[in-house]
Amino acid sequence: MKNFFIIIVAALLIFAIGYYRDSNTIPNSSTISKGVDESLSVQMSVPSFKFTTLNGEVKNIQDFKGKIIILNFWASWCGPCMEEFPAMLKIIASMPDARLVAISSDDSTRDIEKFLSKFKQSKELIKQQRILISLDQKREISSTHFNVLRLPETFIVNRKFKIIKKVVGSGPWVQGDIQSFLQSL
Amino acid sequence: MHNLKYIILLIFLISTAALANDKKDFKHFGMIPILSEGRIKPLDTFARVTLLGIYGKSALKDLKAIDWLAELLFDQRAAYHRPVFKIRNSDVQKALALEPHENQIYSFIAVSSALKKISPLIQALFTQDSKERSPAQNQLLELYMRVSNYLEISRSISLLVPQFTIGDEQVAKSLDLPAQDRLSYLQVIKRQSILDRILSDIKNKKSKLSKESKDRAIALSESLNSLSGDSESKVLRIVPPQFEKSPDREWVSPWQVVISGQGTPQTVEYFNLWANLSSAYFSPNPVEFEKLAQEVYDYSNKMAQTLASPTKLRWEQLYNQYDLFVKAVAFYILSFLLLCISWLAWKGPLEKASFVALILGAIPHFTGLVIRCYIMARPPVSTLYESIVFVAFIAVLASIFIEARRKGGVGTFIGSVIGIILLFISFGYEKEGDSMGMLAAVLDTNFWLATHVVTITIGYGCCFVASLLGHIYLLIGIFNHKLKRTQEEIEALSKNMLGATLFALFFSVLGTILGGIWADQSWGRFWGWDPKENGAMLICLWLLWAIHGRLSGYFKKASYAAIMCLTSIVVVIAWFGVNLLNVGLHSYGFTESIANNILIFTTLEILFTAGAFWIIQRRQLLTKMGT
Amino acid sequence: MFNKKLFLKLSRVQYFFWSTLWLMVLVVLGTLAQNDQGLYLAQNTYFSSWFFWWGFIPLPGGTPTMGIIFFGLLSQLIFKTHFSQKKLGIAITHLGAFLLLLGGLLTGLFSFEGNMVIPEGQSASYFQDYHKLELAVVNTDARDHDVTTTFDQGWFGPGKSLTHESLPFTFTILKFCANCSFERRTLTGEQKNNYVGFAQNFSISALPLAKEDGENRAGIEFQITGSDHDGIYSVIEAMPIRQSLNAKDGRKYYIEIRHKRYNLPFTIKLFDFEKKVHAATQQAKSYKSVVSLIDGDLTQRAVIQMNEPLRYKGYTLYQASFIESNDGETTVLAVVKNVGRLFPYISSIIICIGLLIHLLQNLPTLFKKRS
Repeated sequence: MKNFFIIIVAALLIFAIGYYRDSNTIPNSSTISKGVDESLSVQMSVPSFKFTTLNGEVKNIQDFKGKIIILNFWASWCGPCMEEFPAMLKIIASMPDARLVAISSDDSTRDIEKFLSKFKQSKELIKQQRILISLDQKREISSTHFNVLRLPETFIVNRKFKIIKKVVGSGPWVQGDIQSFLQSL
Repeated sequence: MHNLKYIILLIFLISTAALANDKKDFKHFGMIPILSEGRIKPLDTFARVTLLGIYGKSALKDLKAIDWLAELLFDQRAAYHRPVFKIRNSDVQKALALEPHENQIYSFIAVSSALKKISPLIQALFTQDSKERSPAQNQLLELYMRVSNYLEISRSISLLVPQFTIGDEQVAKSLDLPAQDRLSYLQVIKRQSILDRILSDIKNKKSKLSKESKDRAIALSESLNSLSGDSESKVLRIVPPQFEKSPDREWVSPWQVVISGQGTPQTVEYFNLWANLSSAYFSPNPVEFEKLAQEVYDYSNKMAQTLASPTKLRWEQLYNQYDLFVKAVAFYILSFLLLCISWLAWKGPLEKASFVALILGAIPHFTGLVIRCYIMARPPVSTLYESIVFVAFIAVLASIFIEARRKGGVGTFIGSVIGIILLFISFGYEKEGDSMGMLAAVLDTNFWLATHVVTITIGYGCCFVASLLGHIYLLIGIFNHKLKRTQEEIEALSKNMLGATLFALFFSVLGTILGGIWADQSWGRFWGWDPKENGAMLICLWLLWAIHGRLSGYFKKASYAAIMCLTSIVVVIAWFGVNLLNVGLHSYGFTESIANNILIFTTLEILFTAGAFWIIQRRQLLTKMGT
Repeated sequence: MFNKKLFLKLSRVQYFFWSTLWLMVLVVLGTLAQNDQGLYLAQNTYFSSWFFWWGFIPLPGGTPTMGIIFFGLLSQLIFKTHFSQKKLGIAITHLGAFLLLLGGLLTGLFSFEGNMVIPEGQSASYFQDYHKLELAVVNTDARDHDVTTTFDQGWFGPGKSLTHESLPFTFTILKFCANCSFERRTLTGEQKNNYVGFAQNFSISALPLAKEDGENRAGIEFQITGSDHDGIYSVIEAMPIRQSLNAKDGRKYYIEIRHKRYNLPFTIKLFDFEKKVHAATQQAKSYKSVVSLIDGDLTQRAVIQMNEPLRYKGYTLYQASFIESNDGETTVLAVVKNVGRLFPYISSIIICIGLLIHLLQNLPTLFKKRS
């Protein structure tokens, strides 16, 4: 008979514990795994290169250390480049310490000027040297320094002169994702 | 005369040293990290697994896998002529109109041109359902996939390898590129728009170039175009994600870098290092290649940051190189042989030596498991292959314990036999591909792998030990008039069987219940009566049945030993047999041979057990009648 | 009448010996049968049944076999077990084993489970049984809620008459097939008037049961009397056109056959389903559902992922699988309510302790050191 009681007690005990545990009115908090910090110390340096602007001045990219640089590779025959340009203009206009360095793979400055004539707002910004446009017909800068083959491709450089992001295509510019990113810098 | 001998010896030594230096040491090249099949692995593993898929073995007769990969990447001319494709099926050989070759191994050139001739057939076969094709047709398609893979890998770095020489001064001047240098695709393609203009001028007859220059320009353009198909080459994923260093991000191949817009100053530098490496491949000085390979390796790790661990890459390379489980098996075989000889002569010292050999084998065995555990960061029981190696180790460990306590060679016998058999079986499973693969989502939990799977495999190991004790008991029963074991020793063996059964029962029951608890945590059902669960339950029931049979008197000593012998069948069916049910018993290749092997094993065991038992019963009957 | 002598007899180890042997045979037969019949059917035939046919011979199934083991063990525990020091290990082990079987019995009798299918952005407060069916009659008059009357599968016998005080009409079951196919039929004039809706154009006929129970599509043909459109109707699972009718007083109803639904005392809303693959492969690495648990005033965000379920009010919700389509992702959660849930955990600990004690006590004698 003693055994009988042991069995009954054990069974009831387990049942009771199970019942109590499962009828809790506070749902168990499950571990929400932390996402990996994706901006892990990406310290990509900007290679030094010279480029000639439309009015003949020779500049070095190093001249722009300390500014937020939008280094954009484009060409007048590329459709998405036309799509993204207005968004870039807007950003440059609204951020005083941002610069747009736009390296074109066109065949001649005539093509560039034809392109620019469609964007009247660019004239003033170019004059203020907040937008710098250069012809890189031989693709020495785009290909040799940056492995850029397709267009448009854009590198974002922060104030510490490090490349922190790359934007491929016009999508993020048109959809406005980049604006908030740049403003957070 | 004396001096001449020394001079000859010296020349010999120097020449061998020089010969040794002639061979490239692919140490750092083999460590370069690559993303393949879901994990970061050293190029050495990638080479072995790829070669295994293409050739059927992870090394060629005279060439290591990493050597072969380097040749494939850097020296296509040699690689395309090297025989690597085994085609055994004569129907396939006939379909390809290939000449019978020695060993039936063919080169890429031979097979790919043969396949090209029958490409309409290949296209048609692809559209069919795999069940409608004959085995030969399936093998033909599989060969096609292997050849495509070979081609894809060989073209992986074609964009950065220097291979174009412009030659013509006029064309070079128009393109503003050096005329006599060897240039890579990337270096030439940046002048694409200028080249296009030259070609359209030629077409519109506006070109001012000489005839040779025009031809050269056209030829150059065509060679550039011929490489455009290589842009599909994705398999050599050696470029880590540049901006988001997350383990979920894909690594990409060099071609993918430029095609999908992932070029950065870092990839520029990386490609330059690879281009230098490809040139150094042909250098007469092998040290140069190794030095540049180290630069590539270092830069790759710098780009990957935390995504690749240099220590793990090095350890995996060493693990590949030293083949620890083969060394373990070698010692186990030595141990078994020494034990056998000890039965004939020099019992004392040879018995001890065989025990030492067993322990020596356990060391590389254990080390291999530990290294696997470290590299994969999970318990070494996650795949069928790993569980076989682990069970073998448990059995060896238990046998060492038994031998240490009771001496007499029984432990050594059990350990060496189980170790040899199971490790040889494992070698078959190693051939399936990368043995360090990724797991399905539900299995990817270290806690349950470490508890449930480890416990159950320990249970399997103990079952095999108990089973072998049963075999030994029956064998002694038959041959005791020759062996002259005392009654006390036989009694001790009987007790050992019971002890092993209890251990096996403990781990099997605990392991099965833990499996049920895992199932409860994962999908809410402790017991679902599915094949794997039933298999585990069968082992527990069998052991329980055996023990209770002995306690209730149904099984006397000899019959209990017979039941123990049959335990091995139960374990094999529960462990391997259940896998066959899901796949279906009529699939070809590996699964079919597993089914056959299980059948053969079961038959042999039953024959042995029944035979031995019958002999002992008869003898007992005769002795009873005799008295 | 409780027969003590018989009960005592069961404790003899011979009963355990032979019933365990038979259980092993059942396990082998049942596992092999799963290949052809599928898990669910094989389980019903061999493991949960009282008997099954082997050709013309009836053989005992899983229930009587495990029943003998269960009661034999109980009897042994009550009458023959001594918690003395020498046999303590074995006694504890037997106790643990009994508790394990008891838990299994409770689970088998009282637990129920099913799954919840929730597309992203939507919520659900019921789950469906995996196998059991029900015939649902839904009144859609009220604007913000439906009133449902359901009949369980037990009612689906031909000739059975189904009524309920809430329903103004009567069903008479004509045909039920657990897995049915439907074919077009053409009816001549007078016959045509007897059939309504789907039944007018299609007839249903029974198919053999599919291996995967989820592939079975059940169907019922029934006669309705007392509505404003009497006749023979038929419904099948997941049919595109609802079979609806009105009562004589104009109340609107629709009828469907579906998996049995259990209402939950709370609601789950799916915010986001996320699937990760191993880099550059198609192999799934992990999947998880980010949900909101809504119970009256309580709203709590929770994450349900592989091996990490959500437990609340006796129910446990697991991430079972998912459906990907062009419109978005849908999560499939498995829901279980099991009163016997804790038994395996605790009984396994008890069994472990018992076996360990026994082993440690006997280790010296079993593995004697050689002198």
